[in-house]
Amino acid sequence: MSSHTDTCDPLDRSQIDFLVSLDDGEGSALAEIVNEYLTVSDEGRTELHRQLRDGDWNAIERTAHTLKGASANVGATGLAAVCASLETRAREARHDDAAALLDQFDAELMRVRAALEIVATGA
Amino acid sequence: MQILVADDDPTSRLLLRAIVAKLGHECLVAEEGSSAWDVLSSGGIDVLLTDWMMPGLDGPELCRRVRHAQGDSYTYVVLTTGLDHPEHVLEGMSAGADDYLIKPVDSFAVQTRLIAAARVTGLHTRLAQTQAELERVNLELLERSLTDGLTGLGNRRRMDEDVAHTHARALRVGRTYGVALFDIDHFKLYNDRYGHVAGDETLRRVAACIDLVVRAGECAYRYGGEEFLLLMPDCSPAAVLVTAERICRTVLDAGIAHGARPSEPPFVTLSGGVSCWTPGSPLSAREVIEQADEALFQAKAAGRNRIETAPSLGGQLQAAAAVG
Repeated sequence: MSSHTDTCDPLDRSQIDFLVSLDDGEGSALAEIVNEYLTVSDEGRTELHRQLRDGDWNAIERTAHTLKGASANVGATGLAAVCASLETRAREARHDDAAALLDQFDAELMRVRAALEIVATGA
Repeated sequence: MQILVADDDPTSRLLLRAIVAKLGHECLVAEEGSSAWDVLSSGGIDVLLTDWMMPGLDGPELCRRVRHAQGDSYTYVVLTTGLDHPEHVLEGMSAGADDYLIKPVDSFAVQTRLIAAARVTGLHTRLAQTQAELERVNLELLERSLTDGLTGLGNRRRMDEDVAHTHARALRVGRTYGVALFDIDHFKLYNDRYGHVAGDETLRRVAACIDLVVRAGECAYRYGGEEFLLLMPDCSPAAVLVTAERICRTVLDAGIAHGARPSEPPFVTLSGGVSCWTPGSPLSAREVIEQADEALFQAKAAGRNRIETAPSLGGQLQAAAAVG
């Protein structure tokens, strides 16, 4: 599954700019949110793999839903879209390409994390 | 405003908290529905920004609880949800949410909701204040409608209610009650000599004397122009007489000069008639008062500044004396 998302910027920079604008001078909202996201997404990825192995589709739906929201918060719109597809597949019991979607999720997440680490260092 | 963010996703909590803080509001956070409900229950939350899907209590359930428990203050509820779930918005609004936000949220969207929230919560606060004020004024008006404006004693309306209530209770539980009716001696001559303003002041002073003697559970009323009635629930016939005589003496001891009366002493005095209702008596409440009035008439005829007893009470007193 090659796509547009593989090559272009994995982050919506306007969302990053928005997070920067929330800086209140005390602690960087951007750094806090990005750090939290790095933890949440790592745990979420592990859970998704385990849940797919177990065939626990209700759990996959919930995890994908949470990761969709979290990804959108840090501007990872491509990854959020992959999460939305996973969530829909799980809910509608269309499980045939779930494994492929999870691969796509892993790849996109790697790109997002790399981009975010640069953002966080820059901040 | 004090704002509570309820979301199980930590990035969403941080983002909303940063936005809310940037807009100058105080922000609390809860990681799931149950702890959000704990915070809401302790009060003081103006706005709840809640996620739809949470462990424990979900968004709609939280909405329902907030609306069910609503007291004097209003919590404005905004549901946060994904764009792909319009049915969530409808269910949430039906459950009691005021508005919704599509994730990921931005400052502008939050700011617009908070402006509406401030208006709505402010309106509810003013409404609650107005209602409390109305209730207070209503109570005050009720109290005034039962009080004699000049003397501060109960008025005729309160007397009618209390007498009816006391009589009904005495019938039901078989208790005695007493009534004493007083009249200021030669009050017309007093007014003619000293004027009505002084007359009013004397009515106030006599009322104060009566009030001084009255004990908890008993109640004094201004019955008519210069007439007063004392109602004594759960009171023995002998005690009714003792109290009436004490009132009579207290007024005399007040030493209010009355130089216009044709007889001694040269002070304001009371005549009084007392009566009593005892278990088994066929008398109605009205007849008990009529008997006190007749006794009062006898006190006047016998030379004033004295208490006379109604036949019902006299019999009781004689019986008590015979036993004693």
